[in-house]
Amino acid sequence: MKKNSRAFSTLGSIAALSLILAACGTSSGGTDGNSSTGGSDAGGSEDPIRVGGTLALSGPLAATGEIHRLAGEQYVEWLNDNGGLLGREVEWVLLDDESNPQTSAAAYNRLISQENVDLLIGPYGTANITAAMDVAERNEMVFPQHSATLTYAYDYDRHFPLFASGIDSSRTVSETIFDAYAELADEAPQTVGFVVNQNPATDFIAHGHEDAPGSVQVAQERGLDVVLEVDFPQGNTDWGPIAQRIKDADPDLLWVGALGGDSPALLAALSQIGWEPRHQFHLFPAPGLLLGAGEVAEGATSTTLYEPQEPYLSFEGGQDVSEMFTAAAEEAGLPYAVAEMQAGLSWATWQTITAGVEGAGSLDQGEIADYLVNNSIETVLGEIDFDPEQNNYYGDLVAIKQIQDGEFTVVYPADKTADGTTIN
Amino acid sequence: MQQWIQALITGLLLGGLYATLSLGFSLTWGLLRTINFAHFGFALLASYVTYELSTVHGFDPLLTLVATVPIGVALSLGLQWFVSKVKLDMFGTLVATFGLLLVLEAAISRYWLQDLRRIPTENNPWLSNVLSVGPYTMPVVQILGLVAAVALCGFSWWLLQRSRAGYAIRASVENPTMARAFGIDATRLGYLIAAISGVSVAIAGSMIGILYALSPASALIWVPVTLAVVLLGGLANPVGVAISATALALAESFTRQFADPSLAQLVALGILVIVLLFKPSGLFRPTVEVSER
Amino acid sequence: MTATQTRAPEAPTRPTDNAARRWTTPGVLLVLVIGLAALPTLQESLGLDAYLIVFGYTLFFWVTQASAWNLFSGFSGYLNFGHAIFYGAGVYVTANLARESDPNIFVAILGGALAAAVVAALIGYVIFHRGLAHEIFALFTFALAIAIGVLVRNVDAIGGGGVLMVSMVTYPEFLGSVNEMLYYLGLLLAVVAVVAAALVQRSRLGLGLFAIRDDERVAETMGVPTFRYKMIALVLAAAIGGASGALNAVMISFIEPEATFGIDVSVMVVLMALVGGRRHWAGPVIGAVLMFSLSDRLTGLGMTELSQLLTGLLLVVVIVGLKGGIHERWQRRPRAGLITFLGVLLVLLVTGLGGGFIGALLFALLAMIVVLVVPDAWWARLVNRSREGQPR
Repeated sequence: MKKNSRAFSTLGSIAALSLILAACGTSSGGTDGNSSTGGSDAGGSEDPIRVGGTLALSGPLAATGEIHRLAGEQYVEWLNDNGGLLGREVEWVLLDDESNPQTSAAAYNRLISQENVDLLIGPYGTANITAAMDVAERNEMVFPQHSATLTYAYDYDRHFPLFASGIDSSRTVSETIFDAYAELADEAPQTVGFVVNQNPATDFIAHGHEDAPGSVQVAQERGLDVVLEVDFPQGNTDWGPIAQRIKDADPDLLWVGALGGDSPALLAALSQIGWEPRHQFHLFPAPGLLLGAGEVAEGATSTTLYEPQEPYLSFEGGQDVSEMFTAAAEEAGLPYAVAEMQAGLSWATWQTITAGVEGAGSLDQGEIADYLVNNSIETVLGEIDFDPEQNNYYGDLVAIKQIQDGEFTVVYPADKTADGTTIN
Repeated sequence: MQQWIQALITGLLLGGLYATLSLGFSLTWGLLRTINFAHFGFALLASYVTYELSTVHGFDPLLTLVATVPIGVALSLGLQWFVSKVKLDMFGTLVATFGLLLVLEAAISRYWLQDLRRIPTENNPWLSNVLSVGPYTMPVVQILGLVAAVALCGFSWWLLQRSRAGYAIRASVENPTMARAFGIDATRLGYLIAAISGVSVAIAGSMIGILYALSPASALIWVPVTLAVVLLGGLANPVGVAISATALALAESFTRQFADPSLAQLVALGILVIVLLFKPSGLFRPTVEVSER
Repeated sequence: MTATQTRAPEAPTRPTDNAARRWTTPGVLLVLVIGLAALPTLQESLGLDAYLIVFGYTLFFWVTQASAWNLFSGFSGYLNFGHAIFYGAGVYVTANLARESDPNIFVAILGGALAAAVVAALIGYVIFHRGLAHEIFALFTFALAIAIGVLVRNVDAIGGGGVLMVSMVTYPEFLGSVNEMLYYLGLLLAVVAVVAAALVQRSRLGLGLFAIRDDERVAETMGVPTFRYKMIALVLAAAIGGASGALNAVMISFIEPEATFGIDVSVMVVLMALVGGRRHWAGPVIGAVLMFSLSDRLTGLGMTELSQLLTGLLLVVVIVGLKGGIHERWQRRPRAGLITFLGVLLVLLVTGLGGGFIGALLFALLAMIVVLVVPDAWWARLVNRSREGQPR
């Protein structure tokens, strides 16, 4: 009897599972995929234009993947409310790549050959972007992407990077950081200590690659004294000893190659042993968590390409992304619902593909690519000129922001600051 | 010299967390024959409950144990009930609990999203609450964690080795048929072990919530170190767990301080690999020896 | 199914049937493989999605890895939770060859197999000499895989300072596009893996491994050369896993130690084999098809939590409902299971209700599982009623 009841519940579970699968399979109209369409102002009887992409909706990169999802959904809604693309409605076919490059590559194949998408948009995360770009290249699809950092590696002529740091990003980003601190003149830091996450993105900016120098080398070139160089693994759980080493080295500038939650954990460990950074820089921290670290994070600097402040708000769409993202993030329940770099990058990527299609007046991949290469594109990051001579990279738009009085403000370069705020 | 002592202190305190997290895993594996991957889901859930209660509702993070411990115990008992009902073999429990871990992760990301969460410093007095002795500093919350670890391991040791219940537990694992003949109620003893495991996983989870940033995928970063502690310490051997947790944490701490933090995990796992090659059952004797499956 | 099978619970086969039966399975499989091999050529004229080629490759990849894993671990009872070591050895062979110039894919595959075999021989020699208990072995290999990942991350000579990229490989032109090349070679490796597992299962080696699984000490007293058998099986499993890893590097293209040696591959192959059944070569094949087509369909839903939830529940349900895996249960009702599977597959394909081939495959498997878990008592009643000509 007992055996039967177990079999019964097994049967029930499988039946339920099949039902859910079947229901979901048919609910999206025969084609699979989580499609989001916005308002219905656009398009007449024509089919919508399908834009395909994956994001890390689960796995270790999902925290940022979520931001890109919200931003993308808002953009598609905005686009459809404003007439769509070529007069047609736009539909975003979004798949989850589980933060895994293999899944990402397979999913892009699927988007192209099964979902029959008209356009592609890149995933989040350097690894996934690299894997997906290969698929785009084999299919000769235009591939705009927002966040791949290994700039030296991408030579596909139809990839359009929005991480606007130039083709030598490890050098340009590093120069910008030290230029910003050089503004302090006499009080500029003389010694610097590097603490770097081994993730490829942070590692590349800090240490460079064969003939591309990274921050450590740039610091030495500029005559700074590198007093500490420590690498830590992804998912590090013990910050005490690293904090101790920083305290012993006592650098003027603490340069943290941070991702996600690294920074607040390190700052907590530092304050526990009673050492306060005089100047601190954090590469790619989760901004909300860094602000949540409180007093110890005051004065912390970081890189950015978009902040909800002037002059960005005056750039094309700058106001829209700030308002729409914040509203969506608050509704979704994100504790830090501010549109900053990641949301801005996402928006700019969508603006790029939109501009390419509108400019070319068609969905022909070659024509879109030609238009993007030959025209400058207005985005929330500012004006962008993809340069085929530099593998479609272009100038360095990276700015430095700083926590002043508990809020992020852009402090460098001067033309990106709101009202001449300076670094301190 | 000062650096050595500070690294020693840091390692000891970290060892407390490792021991608390590993104790339950070791006990359920060694005594209940359940390799419980859902353990890491239980810990993650406790971390998130601590985050939620202290960040949103303003409770002292340590006070949230009042909620997390009952949750941990309930989950642990529930799992033990389920496993004993469906009678899985050890590797069956592994697959089933892995499935359960996925379910827990899904539930957590449904409620708290995929976003990184961390208790803001203003709601977390324990981050800055430090005990200073001369030039040395130690976070009070981690001292409390170490005390909890010692208490839990000590109590488990006493229970298994010195109490009548412990004698019964060991007997019922070593020879279930004989034990039943002597009227030992293995089921109730199983629940006792599960409850201890639940208490320790909840405490460990709350500690993690106080000290670290959380995301649904972060449950898995604790798997390697837990397995290392459990294997090194001998199955269901609370003293072994305590000692091996401390030893591994110290090894990691010294590596982070004097070599390279990126090598810390390699050193810990390297120690495990080498020890197992010379002493296949771990450094310490398992509490009960069961003939292979 | 197979006449020489060691542990079929039923199966008193009539002697006259033997010759015919012996060739049924290989015959059916041969037809299946020829059909699969022709798919890329016929795909357009049949009006099938080009995505099936990519789906097919990944499916073959998992079939290969799960079968390779099972060949040692399933048969011998030593559950290896560090299969990613062998897989990763293959991946890193291709990745390192690609540093200088685009490598030839066959060189990479052979190199991957060789590297993984050497690693396995080293590890196996040390471990089996020490005689680790089964469950200790399981988690020891798990820790070892992660340790090797950290090592590769920090040794630039192997890991390239964290990232290696494989953008292109060279291969003969008749293999077509990259996706088609992956498909054909993936199929080839899957066939090699499955055939190897089937042959091992029927050989002295297989019998020896089963004896080890049942009781190693008894096996030893019976004269089974346990050390040698375990070594051979482990090295063979590793070589296949490494060859398939070398090919898969082309698919991933961005090679990182954590992703390669992490728990993704290690745990997935174990789950596939346990769900499908680890005492028979067909088990991991069924498990791989079920779990991969499920994960593929769920990815398409774009509802991450739901797909995680469903995968988790399926694992619990299958392991609780079908102890020993799907294949073992199937042996008790082979005809009913097969008819259900093929019938549902056919109906869904013809009517298009399953939402394409992959959906049909998945639902057919789920339907088969439903038939298999019906309790014996109910089943007997159902069968009897139908035999008596549906009395009302």
